Amino acid sequence: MNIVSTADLRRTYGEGETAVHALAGVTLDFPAGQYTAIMGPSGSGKSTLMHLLAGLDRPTSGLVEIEGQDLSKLDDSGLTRLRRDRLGFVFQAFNLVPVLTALENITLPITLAGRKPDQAWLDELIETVGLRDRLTHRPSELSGGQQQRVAVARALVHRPAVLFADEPTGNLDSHSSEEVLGLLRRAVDEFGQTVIMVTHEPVAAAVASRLVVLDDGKVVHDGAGKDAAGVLDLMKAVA
Amino acid sequence: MYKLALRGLLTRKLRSVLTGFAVVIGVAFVVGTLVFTDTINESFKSLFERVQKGVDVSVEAAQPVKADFGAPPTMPASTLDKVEATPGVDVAEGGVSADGTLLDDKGKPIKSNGPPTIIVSTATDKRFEALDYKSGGAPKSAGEVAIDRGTSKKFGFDVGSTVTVQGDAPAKQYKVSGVATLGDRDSLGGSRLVVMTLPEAQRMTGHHGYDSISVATGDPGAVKDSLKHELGRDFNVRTGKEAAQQQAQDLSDALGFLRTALLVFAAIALLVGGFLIFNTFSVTVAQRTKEFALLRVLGASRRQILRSMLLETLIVGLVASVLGIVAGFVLAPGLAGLLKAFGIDLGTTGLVIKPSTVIIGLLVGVIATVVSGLVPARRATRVEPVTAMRDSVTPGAGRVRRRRIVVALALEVIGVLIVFAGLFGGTGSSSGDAALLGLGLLLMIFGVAVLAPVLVQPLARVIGAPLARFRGLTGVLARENAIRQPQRTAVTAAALMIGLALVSFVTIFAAGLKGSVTHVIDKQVTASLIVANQDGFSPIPATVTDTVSRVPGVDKASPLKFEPAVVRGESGTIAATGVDPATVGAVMKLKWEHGDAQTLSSLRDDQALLDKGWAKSHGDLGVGGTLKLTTPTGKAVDYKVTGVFKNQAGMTGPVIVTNAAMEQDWASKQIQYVWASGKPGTDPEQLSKAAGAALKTFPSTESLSIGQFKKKQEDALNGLLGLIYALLALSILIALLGIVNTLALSVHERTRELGMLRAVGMTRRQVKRMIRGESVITAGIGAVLGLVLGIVFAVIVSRPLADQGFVFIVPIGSLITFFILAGIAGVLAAIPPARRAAKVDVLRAVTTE
Repeated sequence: MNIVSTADLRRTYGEGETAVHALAGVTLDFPAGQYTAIMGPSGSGKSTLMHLLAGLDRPTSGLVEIEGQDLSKLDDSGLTRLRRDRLGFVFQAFNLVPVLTALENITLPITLAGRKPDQAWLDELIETVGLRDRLTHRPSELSGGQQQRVAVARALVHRPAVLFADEPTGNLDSHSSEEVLGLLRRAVDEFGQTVIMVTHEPVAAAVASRLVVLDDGKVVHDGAGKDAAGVLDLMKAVA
Repeated sequence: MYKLALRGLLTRKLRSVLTGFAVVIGVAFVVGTLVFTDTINESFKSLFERVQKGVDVSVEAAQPVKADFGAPPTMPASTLDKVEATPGVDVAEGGVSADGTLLDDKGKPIKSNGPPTIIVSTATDKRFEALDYKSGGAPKSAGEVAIDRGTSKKFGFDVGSTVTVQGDAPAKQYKVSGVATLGDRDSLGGSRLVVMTLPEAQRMTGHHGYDSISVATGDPGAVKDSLKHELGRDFNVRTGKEAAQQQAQDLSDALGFLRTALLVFAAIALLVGGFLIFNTFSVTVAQRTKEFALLRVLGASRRQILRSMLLETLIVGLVASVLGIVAGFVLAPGLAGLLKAFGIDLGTTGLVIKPSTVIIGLLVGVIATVVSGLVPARRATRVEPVTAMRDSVTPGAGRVRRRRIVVALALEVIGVLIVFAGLFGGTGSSSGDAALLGLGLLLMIFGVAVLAPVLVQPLARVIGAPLARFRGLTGVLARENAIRQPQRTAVTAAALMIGLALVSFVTIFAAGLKGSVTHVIDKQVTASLIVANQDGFSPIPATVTDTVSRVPGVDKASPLKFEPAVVRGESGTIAATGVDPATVGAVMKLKWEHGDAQTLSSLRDDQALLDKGWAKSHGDLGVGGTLKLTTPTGKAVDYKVTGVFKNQAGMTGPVIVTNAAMEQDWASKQIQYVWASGKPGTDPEQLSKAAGAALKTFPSTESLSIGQFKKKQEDALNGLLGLIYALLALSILIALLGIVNTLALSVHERTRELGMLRAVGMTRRQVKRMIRGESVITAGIGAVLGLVLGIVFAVIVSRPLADQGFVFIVPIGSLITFFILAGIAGVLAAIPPARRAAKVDVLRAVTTE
């Protein structure tokens, strides 16, 4: 079953002569439980694709479906509810609310929805991200890696249909990167989580089981995951 | 650097506008007040010139006891003979003028807190005629009056109408013989003119003589000198022009309190605006830290940065002041309208704009802005160049230093000391004391403002607790965001605090006054009926006493007088009370320090009773001492002090003498009140009704039971309170603008955070709720600080009044209402920033770069 699918997705900025085609017809399916890395040089449209997939932006034409729901049929509050209940997000930075503790940040999507967290699941998550002794700390008291781990926990706390990660390791040193990538991998392996990650780092992409490469708004490669060296070679070939 | 300052302003348009707006309002208030009062003064000056047009020399009795709105004593008829006999005098004519009461078309007395009804005698010589009759003519008989066109228009009276007028003599009906203007003016500054023939005017006013004598002559200078010589120093001899100037000056002096009061409110508005400016520039500096650091790296000196920042404040100040001046011109008629709404109709038209007004407006606005921007500007100069290399973008929360607490406490202590110095007459002049009081209160306000950042956290926790509890996450976020930058929240709240402190202060004070008055009336007034003027402060004819004493059910009717006098060798006027010793014991019980009821009932015409506190501050006068007074006629009279009482809530003046003494030596004709005791078993309400019926011929009077009298005192106080609220509302409005501004800045700073919250599922509604919560908490902090400060102010300022029977009452209900209103205001202030926050583009917020 496909959790996320697109058909002939296009996104154009500007009009006429100066129009920029960030996405020029992308058709992709993302089945459940798959870990996909989307790569591409800057300006390839990878971020635009993710924003469209996550309902943060609207396509110029084409279709995005999440769990069979056509996103173009949803208004702002419908999209908000979808994001809150069915999607998880890990951004490169500004993931956490500075005035809330780590625990409060983790449970944010659930409290926003006015629900109570599933305590057993929450405990398991906290154990998985290894932040039991940091729960009452505020983001400013956490290291960059710890902050991203909180962000991952937050993205998983409401058992989303799909987790979107936008350059999740962009601001981290290699050790912290490994931790965060490992976490995402475990989410897929242990919890059957669907993950779609945009990255430009081959090391990060190597964790994924499927690799999609974009260039000039088009899919130029879609295949099984590779190791870091393989990703690097592929990227060189594409570019 | 100049370019930089300008660019900086232009790129932050909205913020500059909001900052400037506070200055605009403050300056507009100042300029509006000046224009308004100048207009009044100027319009009266030209009016009086018009009135004195045909008068070459004017003679009036001297006024040894100066009182605001006080008229000189009436001259004996023989004065006119002396004037006429003086060589060089062609024609001399005497006239009278006094306040009276006119009934409206429905038979009700026309009440006004402003210009009165004036009964004047008509001029027989055409030269002295100031009126232009538009229809009909001057009154020819004792049954006719002429009126001004303003009154004619307002009440629908015209030639041939019947009007009822009351002065010292009972009400009488007249036929309107003519309707007149004063040149192109419909009325004498909004007052109602009733023109009578001279004998009728003398009878109706009880002024048996002349209040002024107009002289026509070919040589005003010489005649003035010889008249001066002839009449002596008990008379003021002036040329017509001088007389007009003097009259205008007297009126302008009397209205001076209005100017001062309005300027005080303008100053408060500017002070609040200063807080707003301070905050905005602080935030600007914090946000531009990187920019300043970069400039420093590139070689800009600290002086250059300072100059650039100050230039920015200067430009904002200048532009805002200019706008404020223009707004002030618009506001001036608005102020007139506001006073009119509270019953003070000064009936002015046109605007008088003096160059000095414009200069003052500019100076006030620019100085307020630059001073408020000074501290933030200095902060900008302290940015280290290395900051340019660092990565912190959002300004961190400033640490709360111990020094802050020390400074705050020092300010409070000094403030309280200065307040006490002012309260207990440190400077010896009442305006100096008032200035000290103001300065002390100002320091106390600053003290709390300095301390406020320390208080923000605990207060936000308490005030935010219910929000966090019932609103859940958005409530928690609102509370935490309010605490995030305590200094910013503190200054924003402090601006609101000022307005609320003053509002609660006057409310508590007024409640105390009301309570004291009630208390004193309950304890010391044994009368069951009080007859007073409808307006509450003008005198009533003395003959009312007889009428009241004949009312069935009245046991004893006792007249009370209030007259001004001067203590010889001292400046300033005191208020003395005249009593009728034979009857006063039945209506009033004094609280005695030395003496008893017997002392009062046996008071002789050469004796006086003194208030304890007053006696102490006037040469420690005691029983057996001599009180040396100059009466309004200029007579020096000595009184032996036979008793000392404790005056309570100003029920009497600090000096009590007999009515007979006042009639004899003070030329006192009218009385202030008649207090009457009822026969046992008489119903007070019935009594006041009966008295009202008996006093039909004196429509200016009002018969009140004690309950009604209390109510009337309260109503008068409430009216004043309403006016003060209206004037303070402006500073509260500015403070709310401050909340809007601060929140808008915070929303701007937190764009990314808001976007992230939206991305993970916060709805627009939740975003709005969060911002609203932050606003309500900020307003709540301001309200709590303001209410507490207001209570403290009231406690301190009412201290010296405690032994005058001031009852300290905290009107809990009103204070709670203020707190709730502040919360609602917070909700309103949050509307624009909340809308902006809800509109944050999720995508832009989460996109890196």
